[in-house]
Amino acid sequence: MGFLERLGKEMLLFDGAMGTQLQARGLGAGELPEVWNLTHPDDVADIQSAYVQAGCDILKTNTFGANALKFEGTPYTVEQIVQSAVGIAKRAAAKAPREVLVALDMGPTGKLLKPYGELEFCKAYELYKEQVLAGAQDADLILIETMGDLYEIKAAVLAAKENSDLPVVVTMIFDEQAKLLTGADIETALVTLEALGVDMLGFNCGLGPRQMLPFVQELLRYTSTPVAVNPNAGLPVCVNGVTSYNVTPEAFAEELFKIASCAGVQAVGGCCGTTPAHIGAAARVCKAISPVPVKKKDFTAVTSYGKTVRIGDTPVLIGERINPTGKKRLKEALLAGETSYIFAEAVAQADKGAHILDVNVGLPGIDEPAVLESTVQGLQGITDLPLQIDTSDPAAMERALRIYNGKPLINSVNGKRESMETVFPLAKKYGGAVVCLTLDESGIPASAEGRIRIAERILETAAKYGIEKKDLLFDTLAMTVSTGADNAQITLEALDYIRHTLGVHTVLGVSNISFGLPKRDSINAAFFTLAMERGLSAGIINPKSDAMRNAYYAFCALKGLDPNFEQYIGSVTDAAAPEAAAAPSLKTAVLKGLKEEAGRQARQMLLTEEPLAIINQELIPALDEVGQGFEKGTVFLPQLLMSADAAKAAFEEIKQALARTQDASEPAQKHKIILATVKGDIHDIGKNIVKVLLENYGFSVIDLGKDVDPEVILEKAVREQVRLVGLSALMTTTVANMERTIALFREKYPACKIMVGGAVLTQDYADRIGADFYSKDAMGSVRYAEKCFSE
Amino acid sequence: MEIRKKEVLRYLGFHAASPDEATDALIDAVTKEALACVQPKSIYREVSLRYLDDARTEIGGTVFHSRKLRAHLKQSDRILVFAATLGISADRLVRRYLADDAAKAAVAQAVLAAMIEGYCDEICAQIAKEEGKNGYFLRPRFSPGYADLPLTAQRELFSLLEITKRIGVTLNDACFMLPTKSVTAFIGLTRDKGCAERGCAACDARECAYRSEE
Repeated sequence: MGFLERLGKEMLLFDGAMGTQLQARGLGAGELPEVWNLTHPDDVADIQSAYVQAGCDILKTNTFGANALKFEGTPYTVEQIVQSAVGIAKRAAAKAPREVLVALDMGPTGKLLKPYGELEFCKAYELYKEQVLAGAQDADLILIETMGDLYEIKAAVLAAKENSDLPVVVTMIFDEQAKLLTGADIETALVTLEALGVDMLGFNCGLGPRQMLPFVQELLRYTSTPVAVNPNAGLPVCVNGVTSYNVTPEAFAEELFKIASCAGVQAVGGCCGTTPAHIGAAARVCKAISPVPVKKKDFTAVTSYGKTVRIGDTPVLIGERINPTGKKRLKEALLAGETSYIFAEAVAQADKGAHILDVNVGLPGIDEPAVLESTVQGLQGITDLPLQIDTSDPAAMERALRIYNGKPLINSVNGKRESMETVFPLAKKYGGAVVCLTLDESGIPASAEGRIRIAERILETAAKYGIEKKDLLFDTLAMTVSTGADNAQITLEALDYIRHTLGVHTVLGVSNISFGLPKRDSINAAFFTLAMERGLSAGIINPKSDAMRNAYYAFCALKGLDPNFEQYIGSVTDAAAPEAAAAPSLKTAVLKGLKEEAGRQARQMLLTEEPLAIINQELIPALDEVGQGFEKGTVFLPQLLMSADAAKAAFEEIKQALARTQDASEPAQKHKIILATVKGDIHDIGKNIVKVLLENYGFSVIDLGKDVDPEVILEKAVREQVRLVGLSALMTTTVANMERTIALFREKYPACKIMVGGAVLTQDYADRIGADFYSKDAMGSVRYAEKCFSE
Repeated sequence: MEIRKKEVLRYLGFHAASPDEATDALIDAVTKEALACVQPKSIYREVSLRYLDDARTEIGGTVFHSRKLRAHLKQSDRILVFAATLGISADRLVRRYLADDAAKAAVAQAVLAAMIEGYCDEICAQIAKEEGKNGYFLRPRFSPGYADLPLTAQRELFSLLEITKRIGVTLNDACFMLPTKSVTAFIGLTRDKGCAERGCAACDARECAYRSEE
């Protein structure tokens, strides 16, 4: 019988530690344990035979770290290591008088994934794929274990499922605060893993069985998937320089028994510090337990890398602002690759209380799959809100779903056969909750009944793909009331029925209701309240609209969904803050670094003044004053940047105004400057500060990011005919790459000036590596840029 | 966790000057947010120590080439390898601020730098208390990248402790640590109380912009 046949019928017992057992046999610190499969196969075999004798049902292959990154520079290939390990385990298993299964074991890559590390998601996938291809053929299941990052788990699970037919078990390492290394809590990890469709999940390593028990109980409150638990033999203690684990086999077995007795736990075993004696003791008590099936849970949730948003009785807000339809400024930003504008929109919506952010980048002339992928990745670097991936392009949808870190909302599928055939397989494979539009081949039904019938058909079809009701949200389509007085009623009737009679969650693009009407906010807010009263689970709205937020918080307060009115009161005090003193002028607002005030003043002034006059008479003089103060040492970095942020808010208002008035917005020709943190260096905050200031002074900055190859900088500079490049480096070790970059420019593009900066640089050093200018601080680069372009 | 505001101000370039009200408020706000989000973790372990000559010290079976390290350890007859981190959420906080608030990002950078130092000091104080019972004193932390101990020594140091597995800190090809707000160090243990040069005074980088003037 295979793993899946046995699962749930008996308490399965994993084996214990390999690493600490090898150390006991002489594996040195820093030595790769997997090499022993080739150099000391008998030791590995002895350990596994001992576990078999102790009574385990599943052997983990000695392949925890067998990935190409770790074996780079060794004489061994991943294939050799993995195949030998599987062979040893198979032989040990075959000696048992009963059936013992072999789990192909895969651990973390040892590198941090982007955006906080350097490993690309697709590269992590490739590393796991190589292990799966090498070992899956002779294994009974794949165990992905000791994982601390949901994103890395996703890479490993996809690699396992796309390159083998084996069952997949994932166990994760949580710290004592019940968090993964990347910050996810237990609920978020569970929701994300279930979306990926693993066969079993749970915990291993990090903690002993006693500390793990409450975590197991928490996991069992959320999970519909069977649970596996492989604790350490207690917490590690360091005695005379040796790390050891103190829980005795008997005590371990006693604690493990408590875990195995929890309904839903169907496999247990050991991790660091456990020995055949621990597993033997565990076998004696745990094998007698007949596992209790997991109770299916019925809740709707989406996740980001670290956070869960439940869609339930309290409606949630989906921010609609990252969608270029009808937004000239966003169109401009998307076409120009100006991600900072998009990121600022995301942060602003999050600050205003959005729970989920819609992301749509569909524009004519844009490479939507590529732009959606990079936008989703970028947004996940700066916000912990789950995203709603919004596209009608299946290729873009798949790419975004593949790299999404968590379980997203998918926007959308509809009742057309083709749409369901395209979207449901993707939703099933990558996981996600799906927005379902109640329209089909014949369009949008004019009646509530028509929309309900489509909803029923979508529900049935989804079930055929194995997608549960809880992962669907129905949109009964708000049609503008100005073209039909019944439109709101029809939408709400269908919504009410679907929510309360079909028992499925609902969603609406609320603002559509008011197209063509003046003062749209009033209509939108009233409709939003009506819809929530009829059972709207999620509203796609503009969270920056006070009317919408007021409607939402007032509704929650009145419905008893806001204990102590905390959210309501919070939202009211937020809005009431200004108006206290007499409003400062725009110049004063910038000097004092008052961001919101500067934006407000700029908006006011734009009603009567020319944009250029505002820039020249208010913004530039203010920036100059602050800049000079900084140079004299009377103004310090935080103040300089607060002023820069305030000026940026004012510039943004001016840009918005220009985007509204200019048709084929022909942006003024600006001087272009490239900024990059050099190859090998990851410290980019200084560069980012310089960027903010240069943009304030009217330069167009091409930001190439951090850890940038000299060739990439050169290529961009030549293609964009850039005359000034700024390089940063923080460490002495990476200044060498700065020198290489400069040398490359001197050879291939000598006309380009290069300024450098960074904590370890000095004038002397800058001269030695041949830079044109050494900027000791951020203002220095502004002054040099001004000088360069005035010549 | 203790965060020394004076350190934060030094990183932000306020040498002797006192901060204005807005900066002061910003530091407090960012500190509060940072404290709520960081996931500090640390690990340390005693390893074997053998002095080979003035320039070479064998630590945990690995030879490290550095005169300054040897001199720094002085009379130490035991040694710890140490690692600590604020976790990935610290990097995330800075990046989120960068999206729309450069001032907060710069302040967060300074606050988090002071915070990781404060956290290391706190853990070291605990170790010192324990070791004090055995009559041992801790020498100041000495890290790869200090003086003549190259940054590449990180690789060996990492293999002496299960740093990646236990506290999630990884090394990139250039030997930088990710998450970035992380520290590794050797800590000598000595019976000699002595007065140690510490912090900036022990470092040769006299041109460093962040050098403390105390």
